[in-house]
Amino acid sequence: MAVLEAHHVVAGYGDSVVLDGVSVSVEETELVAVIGPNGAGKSTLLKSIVGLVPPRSGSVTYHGTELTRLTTERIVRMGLSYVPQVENVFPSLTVRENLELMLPAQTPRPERQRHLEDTLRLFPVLTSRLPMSASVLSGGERQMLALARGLMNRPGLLLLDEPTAAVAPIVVDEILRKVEEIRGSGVPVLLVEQNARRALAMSDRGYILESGRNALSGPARELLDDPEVGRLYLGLRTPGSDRAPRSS
Amino acid sequence: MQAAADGVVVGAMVGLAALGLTLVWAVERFPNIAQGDTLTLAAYLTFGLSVGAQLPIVPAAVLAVGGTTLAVQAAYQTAFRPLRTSPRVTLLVASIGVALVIRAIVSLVWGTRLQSYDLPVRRAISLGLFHVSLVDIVILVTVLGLVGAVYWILYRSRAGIEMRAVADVPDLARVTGIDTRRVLRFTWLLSGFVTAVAGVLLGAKIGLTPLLGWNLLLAAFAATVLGSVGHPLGAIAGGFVLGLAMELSTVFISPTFKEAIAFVILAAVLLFRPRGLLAGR
Amino acid sequence: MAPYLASLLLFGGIYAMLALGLNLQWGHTGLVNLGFVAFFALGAYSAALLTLNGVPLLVAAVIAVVIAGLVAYPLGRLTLRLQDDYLAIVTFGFAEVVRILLLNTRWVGGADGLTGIPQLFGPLAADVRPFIQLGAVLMVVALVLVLARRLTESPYGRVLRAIRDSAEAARSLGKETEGYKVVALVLGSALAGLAGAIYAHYIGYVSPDQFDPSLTFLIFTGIVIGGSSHWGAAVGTLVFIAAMEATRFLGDVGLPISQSDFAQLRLLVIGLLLIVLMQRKREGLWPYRHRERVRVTRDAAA
Ligand SMILES: Nc1ncnc2c1ncn2[C@@H]1O[C@H](COP(=O)(O)OP(=O)(O)OP(=O)(O)O)[C@@H](O)[C@H]1O
Ligand SMILES: [Mg+2]
Repeated sequence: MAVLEAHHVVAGYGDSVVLDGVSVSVEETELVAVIGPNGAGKSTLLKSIVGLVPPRSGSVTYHGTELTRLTTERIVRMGLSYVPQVENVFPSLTVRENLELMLPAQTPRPERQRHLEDTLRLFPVLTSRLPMSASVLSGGERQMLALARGLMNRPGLLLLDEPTAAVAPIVVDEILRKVEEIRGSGVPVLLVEQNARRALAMSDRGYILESGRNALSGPARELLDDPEVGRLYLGLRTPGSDRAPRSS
Repeated sequence: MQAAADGVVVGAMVGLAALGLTLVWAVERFPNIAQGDTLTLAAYLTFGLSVGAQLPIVPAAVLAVGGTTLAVQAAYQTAFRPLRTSPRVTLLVASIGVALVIRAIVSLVWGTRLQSYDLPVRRAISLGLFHVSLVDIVILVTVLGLVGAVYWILYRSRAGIEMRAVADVPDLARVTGIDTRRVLRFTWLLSGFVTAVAGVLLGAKIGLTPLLGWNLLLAAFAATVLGSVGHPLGAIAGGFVLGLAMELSTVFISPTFKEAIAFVILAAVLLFRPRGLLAGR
Repeated sequence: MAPYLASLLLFGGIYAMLALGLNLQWGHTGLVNLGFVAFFALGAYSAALLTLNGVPLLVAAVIAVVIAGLVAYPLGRLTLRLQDDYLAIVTFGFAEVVRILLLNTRWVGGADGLTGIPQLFGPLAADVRPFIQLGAVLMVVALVLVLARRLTESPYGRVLRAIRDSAEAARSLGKETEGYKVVALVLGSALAGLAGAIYAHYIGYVSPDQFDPSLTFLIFTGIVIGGSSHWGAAVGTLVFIAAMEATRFLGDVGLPISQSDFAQLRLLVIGLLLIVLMQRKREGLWPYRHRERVRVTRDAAA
């Protein structure tokens, strides 16, 4: 059974429909990329999976359990971790508070400590920052904290919304390496990324969204090699020509 | 000198009122106009239970605090909770409604003329340059104890850390698995309790009229903004600044312009330091 | 009887102007001006002081309007670049300060206020005067209505409602929203100033207790009942105020309730209504409808 199965999801804000029947799925141990132009509805898709933007129709199941009726709090407590694109840490809380809040209140102290140590092993930069306010972190450290928060409760699925947005280029590599490490540890990941080429290169499968609909999907390798995809979404000039990175 | 001592006591009360205000303001994101009338309610309940029902003052005060805290929770459940997805200004307008309802009820039950608690002899204790009364000492001790407790809750307890999280980024709090409804309930409980205590003390210091708390509201707003919304220590510090400025102005300018002083401070803070003195960012 | 009716209608006109002013701020822009009554008072006092010192009424009224609007400007500039809440508490504080200043300043009469303010159309004979006054005031109200409609139908008005309704739209306008809001605040307050000038020269005296803060809440409730359309706001306010005033006579009918208790009961009703109305749709009974939208839906139906 798939870990996550979103089927014909329709969702939006107020009167506007942003997702018009989108379907995605994630299997055990998979890294799945979602790419698409700005405003395609990628963030909205993740928000509707966790119930922040409740789907108007369609279904979302997690290990077979229907999520569309549940509150966000319930959904994340089932083991889905969601790292938003913006505002993904609490700036006025300390780094330690940011991390520990991810665990349920009744978690016993030794267990809390173990979770914290496991997480810090993957993100050693945060160790010395624990007592500091998250507002003083650098952009890269802040994204690391956001990722670390997502892993703190040992999720069964990680939803990442553009974890490399607004960080320095060298930090981008570091963050994407962490994402691969996370997948390597067995956690399935649904990754929304603006670096479409890099995202596809490290993923098992990919989905391309366009104006709230599935445009294309398939094994990441095939999407990468598809000349049409290259031209429309990866910023290649002509099929087969030298690969010019998008200049945005 | 005496004005400064009075200022400290008034400041302590403004600070407590601001403390109740700042909690709700940070989490619910609107200034609760009913804050002033909540103070009034607590004072009148104490009055009613002690003078009316002839209870000794301490149990009367305790019951009044409990009753007011419950009333605030009831106001939250009926007037504010249904608006959780509405623009914040609608909560602000609803809080005007709550303020008027409380004031009308207080006036209908206890009348509008000046009243006061029946406290045992108030002997002033002379401390050299100025003198203080027992009430003043009770007020100061309570204020310090209460702000300490609130500080501990906000920064050391899980419930308080969750409150700060909801105040900081509400959507992230939800995807963190925090039960926002419980946090809001708790916020209103805590704020209601602090405000109730402030109201009981206010009634001990100043005579009761239905406008008792309303008259303190502007100073409490100014103290809250001065001390940065959401900061418990800032609220108290802001309260002391306001109290001192207002009491000293009675000596150096004129007693009638106390509120104008509060307004000037509020305007100055908004002009130069809109996030208050304690804002970290 | 006829002069009495004329005077009722005239007060209605003044309240209608106040309603239109506050509606521009709350109904169309979502601004909470808790000190609205202070602008009414400023208009009344400044016009009265001017005419008492020999300035012609028309000039005095214009100056009063300008003063009320000008005073609103810094308050808006100070607060509207920040969150909306700050406007509410600053206008609340401002109204308190105005009230205290009026009470304690000797040259505006302190608690006694100002008396002997020249009447509108004072030279006319007393038996025709009320009707001429009424006619003039109703004309002013009609003019204000037309101008308000013009304003809210303009692209500017559409922006105001967009700011009110959608944080998204407000964000996309960025810093500009502040300017739009300030203009709504200034225009609404200037209208309150105009109402004040007319009021002072109709009843002939002004004193601080005529400008009780509860008047702001009374009008607020009226426009929230009526809805954001100009007619809705005006009619809602008039009907609501009439209903509240009617309770004054209940005591005469023999109900065993004192006048002061009636005042408290009125406050209770206003409070409860504000709480309940905020939970209903914010549009009130007669929401504002943009003309164009009506046309578009008709086209769509065809
Ligand atoms: N809170 C909101 N209210 C109203 N409309 C919104 C909101 N958030 C997003 N939208 C609209 O929904 C559409 C899709 O937005 P979304 O954020 O899902 O796109 P995206 O694919 O994540 O884009 P990006 O690459 O810029 O992050 C856009 O047109 C956007 O304007
Ligand atoms: Mg996005």
